[in-house]
Amino acid sequence: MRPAGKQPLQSLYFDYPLFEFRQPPELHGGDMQHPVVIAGAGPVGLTAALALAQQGVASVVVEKKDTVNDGSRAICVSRHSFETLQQLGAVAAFLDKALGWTRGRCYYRDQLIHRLEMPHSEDERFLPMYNIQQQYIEQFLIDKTADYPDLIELRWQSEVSELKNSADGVSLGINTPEGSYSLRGNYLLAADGARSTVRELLGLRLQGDNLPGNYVIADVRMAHEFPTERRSFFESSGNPDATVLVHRQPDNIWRVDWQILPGDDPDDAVRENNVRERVAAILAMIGHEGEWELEWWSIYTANTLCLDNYRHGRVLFIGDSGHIVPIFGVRGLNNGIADAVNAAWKLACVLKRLAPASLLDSYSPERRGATIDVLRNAGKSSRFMTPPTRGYALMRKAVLELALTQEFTRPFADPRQVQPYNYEDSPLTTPEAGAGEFTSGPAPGAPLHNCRLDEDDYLLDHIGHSFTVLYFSIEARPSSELAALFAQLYQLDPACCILRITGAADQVNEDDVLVDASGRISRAYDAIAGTVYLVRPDRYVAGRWKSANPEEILAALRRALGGSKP
Amino acid sequence: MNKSLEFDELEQVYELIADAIDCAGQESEVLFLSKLCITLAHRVGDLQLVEDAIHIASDGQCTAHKAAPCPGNEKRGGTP
Ligand SMILES: Cc1cc2nc3c(=O)[nH]c(=O)nc-3n(C[C@H](O)[C@H](O)[C@H](O)COP(=O)(O)OP(=O)(O)OC[C@H]3O[C@@H](n4cnc5c(N)ncnc54)[C@H](O)[C@@H]3O)c2cc1C
Repeated sequence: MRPAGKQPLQSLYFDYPLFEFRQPPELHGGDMQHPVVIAGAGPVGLTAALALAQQGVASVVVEKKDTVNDGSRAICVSRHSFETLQQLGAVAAFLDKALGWTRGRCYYRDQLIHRLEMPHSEDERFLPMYNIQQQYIEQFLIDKTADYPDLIELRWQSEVSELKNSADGVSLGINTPEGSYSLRGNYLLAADGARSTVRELLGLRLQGDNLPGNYVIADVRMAHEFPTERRSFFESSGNPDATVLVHRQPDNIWRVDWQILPGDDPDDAVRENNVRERVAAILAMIGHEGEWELEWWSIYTANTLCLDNYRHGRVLFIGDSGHIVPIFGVRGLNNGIADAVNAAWKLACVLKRLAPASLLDSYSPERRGATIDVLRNAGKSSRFMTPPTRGYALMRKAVLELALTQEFTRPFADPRQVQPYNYEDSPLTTPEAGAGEFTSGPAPGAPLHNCRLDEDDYLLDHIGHSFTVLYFSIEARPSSELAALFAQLYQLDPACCILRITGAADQVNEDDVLVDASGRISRAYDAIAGTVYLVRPDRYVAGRWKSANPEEILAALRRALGGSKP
Repeated sequence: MNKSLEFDELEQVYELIADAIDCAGQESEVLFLSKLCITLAHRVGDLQLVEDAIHIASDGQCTAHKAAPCPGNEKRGGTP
């Protein structure tokens, strides 16, 4: 909602683009089967289009709106998502605009009870979290699609209204300002958000709970000096009853969230004069005395909902269409981005005939597993942020009061921020052969760790777009055995990137060699000469071997491509 | 291992808690008891013991995961 007198897209800081409708060939009787159709140009659909294009796979994105997201929704983007954006070649614009942060403060009755410190080290290129408004996220992704004029077609003002999901493809009915047409694809990625039309057309329902408890979320513009940190307030003097959150965003925009109490009327809570009154009280509490302007507000209810299965034949659900999670812990968009890249590399391998269609079977267990994990954590945070019953409210008060003097209850105030999910149990992951061989480094199923090599030079800068093999060796030439293995790996995945990591500094000139003069990567990855890590296109470790065993590495790549277990 | 209190110690605890409830006052006694419970649970350091204690104190009515859910609690049971 915007203040009275403002037009729907009249923002204090963001110029909404207007995307025109262009007639597609199908409107004039053209009939073609596109490799991938993506429903929805939200952040998740756009990420999927970019990830597919990077693998050389063309997609058509149909979006019912003519602009980006109205009002502010997601603001917190995680390091793991930034690493994905880097891999997609899109991170520069985000780094220019976003505000990075590592810390938070939690107050109870105006006293600081918890200092949140998110894990960070000099091995990281990116900070643990960045704040940036969703409309910028979408805008920057849309800008990036221009790099792929032949591979990404964005069709605005095009609404999915019908769907036929058959064994050999999907057929969609698209409504546009100039009439309807039918659009065919080999696969459909449903990225059409929480109110997914695709989900409805397939007769599917989200399962789970609508948690009790509402929040009002407001964005205000003001010149306010405070570091970019997450601030949470419980029972503050200004707002004794409601929990309050404050976040800084780019362009002097501040996000203020406050809880609506069980007895309060939500319709009342979002009336402009009431919103202004609450915002004024909260700003007074944080010590802001200057001017402020109201940009936008909305009401938010915490849900923990997801589909039982994220794949239905040739339709894969990515992002909010398949799961709706509470915002505390900032997982919606971050997990949606992870869905998009997971689905994209698998689809690309299937469409390029590098993998059987059964590779797609792993999408739902991997990403639904991530959702269940999120729901477990997010459910806990929501029950803390909006206690659903008297019992929960009482226990929260008990631990917060104790936290004033006792260390042991302070972690309750931790927001349990999003962590990348682990695919250890995935059928695509090859477990370690000898248990205990490695004492550190990312285990099979975990995402790669970054590692600083030099000023502005990190391990993840060098990762490929498809599978990557990290092999640790000081020999400039691979043994004949390894050379034969690499040839076979290239056959299985022609785009795979074989990266040799060496301690010898005289080999700097080759681009497939990383010089690890200080031994930093070797230590972080617990590697010796001969160690190999096989890494999936989404930067997850598919398998690792202390000393290379060509047969096992080959089998692990086959397995990661959806082949049968060795 | 944890051992039970001797009866005369338990008697002392009985009176200490009674005094503390009075001291907290009617307004705050429930909050006091909640704080006491979570502090004791933290010190006991044995989840099973705490679960058993909740079971005993609620006459087996409201033990999470074990008995039939209490009203208001059933929401947590379903998927996921
Ligand atoms: C107030 C709020 C704060 C949030 N904060 C965070 C945060 O800090 N961090 C975080 O990670 N997440 C956050 N989230 C969640 C985040 O906004 C969503 O998870 C994210 O937008 C999901 O992206 P999506 O692309 O799946 O869906 P959406 O962003 O909803 O995009 C779906 C797109 O599909 C289009 N569409 C819908 N139906 C059709 C159709 N029939 N045909 C064609 N197109 C269609 C829509 O117009 C839309 O553009 C927040 C959410 C809210 C509401």
